[in-house]
Amino acid sequence: MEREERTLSEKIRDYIDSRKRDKLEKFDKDTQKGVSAASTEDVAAYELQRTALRVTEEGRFKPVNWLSDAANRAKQLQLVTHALKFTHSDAKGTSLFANANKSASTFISTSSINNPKIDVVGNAAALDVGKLLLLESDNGKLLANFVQQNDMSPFEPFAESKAQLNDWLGGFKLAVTAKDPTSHKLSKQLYWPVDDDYHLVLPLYGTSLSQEIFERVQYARFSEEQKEARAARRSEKMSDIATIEFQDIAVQGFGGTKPQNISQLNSGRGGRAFLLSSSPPAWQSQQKPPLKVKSIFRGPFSRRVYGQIMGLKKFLVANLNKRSDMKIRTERARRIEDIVDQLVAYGTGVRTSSPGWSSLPDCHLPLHQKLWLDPKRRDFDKEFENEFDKKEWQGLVAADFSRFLNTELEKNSDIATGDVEFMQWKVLTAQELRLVKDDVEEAF
Amino acid sequence: MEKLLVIRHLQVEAANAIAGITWGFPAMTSFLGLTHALQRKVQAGISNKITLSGCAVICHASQVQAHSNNMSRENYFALTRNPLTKDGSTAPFNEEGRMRMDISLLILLSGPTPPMFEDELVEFIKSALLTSRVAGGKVKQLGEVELIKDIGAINRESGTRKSFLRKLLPGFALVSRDDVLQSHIEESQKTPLDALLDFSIKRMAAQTKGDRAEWRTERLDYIGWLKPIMVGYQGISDLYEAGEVGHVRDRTCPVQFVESIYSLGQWISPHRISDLKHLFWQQEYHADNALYLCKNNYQPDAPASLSSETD
Repeated sequence: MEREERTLSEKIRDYIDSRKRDKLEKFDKDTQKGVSAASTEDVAAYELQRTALRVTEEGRFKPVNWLSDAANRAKQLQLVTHALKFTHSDAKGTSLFANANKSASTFISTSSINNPKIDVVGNAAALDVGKLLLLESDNGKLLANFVQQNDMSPFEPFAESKAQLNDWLGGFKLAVTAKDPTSHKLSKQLYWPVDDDYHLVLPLYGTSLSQEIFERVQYARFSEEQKEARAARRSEKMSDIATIEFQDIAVQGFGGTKPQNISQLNSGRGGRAFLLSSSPPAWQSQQKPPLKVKSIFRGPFSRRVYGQIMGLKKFLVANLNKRSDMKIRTERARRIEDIVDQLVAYGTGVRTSSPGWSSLPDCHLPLHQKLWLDPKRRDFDKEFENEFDKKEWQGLVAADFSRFLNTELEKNSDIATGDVEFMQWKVLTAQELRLVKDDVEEAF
Repeated sequence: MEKLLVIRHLQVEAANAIAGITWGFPAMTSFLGLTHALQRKVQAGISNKITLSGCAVICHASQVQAHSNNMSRENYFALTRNPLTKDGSTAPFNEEGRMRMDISLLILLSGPTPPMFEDELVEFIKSALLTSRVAGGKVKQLGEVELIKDIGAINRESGTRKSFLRKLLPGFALVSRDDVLQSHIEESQKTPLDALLDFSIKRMAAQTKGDRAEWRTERLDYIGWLKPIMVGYQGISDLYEAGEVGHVRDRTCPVQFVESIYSLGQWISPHRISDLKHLFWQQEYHADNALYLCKNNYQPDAPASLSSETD
């Protein structure tokens, strides 16, 4: 513990030194211009003045002085994990530095990140103070965390007195705590019912969480590792690294052309945040009627369930040699039902098309599929109605479906279809399908 | 005896399509907020003995007002042009996402509803809905509203339950699958965030096949339309006494700063469930860990075909 705190003190000293170097370099450069511009007789005086100025400038960067100044300016900015301006860029009110709350729930939030990136909001002129407080000890604890816990040990070597240390603590504390919490008319304020009364909850944007997601998406897209893996995939070569692609990402922009106005991390993200999709299935558009195909199981429907069928196949192959216990049977049945659900949903989707579409010359579907997918044609087609009332079509569609499923499962399978085990599960799936058939028929 | 309010085909325009770090459907908090707002209107207009305690959402169709760019595979929201500022420059703004949706709601209702008031209640709900905001959007059209006086009667027997639920097709109901997320966290040994992100990622890995490599999509061992969803709020500050926080809209109730929390949800075909209760969401508050939660008690059942097989 002792050693680690010393290293953090070292880091503080290094940081101040680097600020000093930058500043003095700039000072020298600027004043050099003055020296060359000054007339010969003034040079000596100017040099004298310059040296004096340089001494004061150096004095400002004596750690004790610089820290006092920094502690004074700390109130101009705030280190946060949750920022308000993402809600509305003109909102003025409290942003927060949330302490890692280990007693928090198991739900995903900022507290489920181990070392959240800290954001800085406020006056950009005080950013150097922000960088100071974001110095990190070797075990990942930020200087800001020390300040939060009233632990001033990393600052001890620089302070001249206990009182000064306390002044600094008071100053820096303003950058990590929200004093006088306020909300604003442009911030979100929601009522949440609690017993017979309400709590007012004020949601703040989790900029640290957003940063984590942003970094992972950027890694997937631009990291060398991923680029190499993708190149290997394109040329069908081996690679130890799996390619990662975030699917259905949306971009939300904050701050327009001035992302810095929202926050420091937002500026680093170019004012963009990535959103994960939670949309319901088949959200794209209305189901188009399946024209120009001989069966919905060749194209329109099979595309839709490709993923599920691959999943089922993988599952069946993996459990080929295992004894068929309750767990496996349940899983298998559930996967098949999942595909049946898609069939039912597909059917209801197509049936929202304008009645009579199945009489178009482009429709090459067998009669039973037409009866299933275009039932409203009965209203003006007597012959169609008669066929419909025979109720033979349900069985035929279900038979089509089970044939389709079996063919798909056997296709390109690693196992020869003659294998005893393979035959066995085929029998089992056939059993399940018979039961599912009743279900499908009911749904028509 | 619990009753059920069935609101069919509520068509909403310009609803909020962003919920924290997710997009594509409004957060469950919106629908529970609507339920509570309806309760307040009903209590003020019809009877203060009626409570609306939970809500299920079935989405029939939805369309986010966004466009995608095939090159970067990102979706961008169609944005509104806002009024200029005083000096004529563009007002700074943070993007919002909007969507159209066609949903049905099932709302749990309890309290006395004498037959003579039933029609009045239904009519009242209809007009209240037409003047309500739904997830920030406007109600464009409203289908049938129906009051079912005994949930048990349709819930107990699988035939009646199925035929009731089938009327909600085509559509998908949103349920919580925190159980799947927790087991994935445990089995994969990943951080909770990475485990959640796995459900938004397509991962492909190489396997040797002869002298070449074959790249295959690695699928998770979970099935169904599983998506990250926003499920409520977590307190990130102390709970302040009424009036302690400045510039709030109401100085008579306690105030807490919160952040959105996320979990895994699943869109299921509603006719698959074995108990209507599995579809409902409820608002909860847990004082011990400052949790404002939208809670759903979905339980995956043994598939119907299996139970008949073992008979």
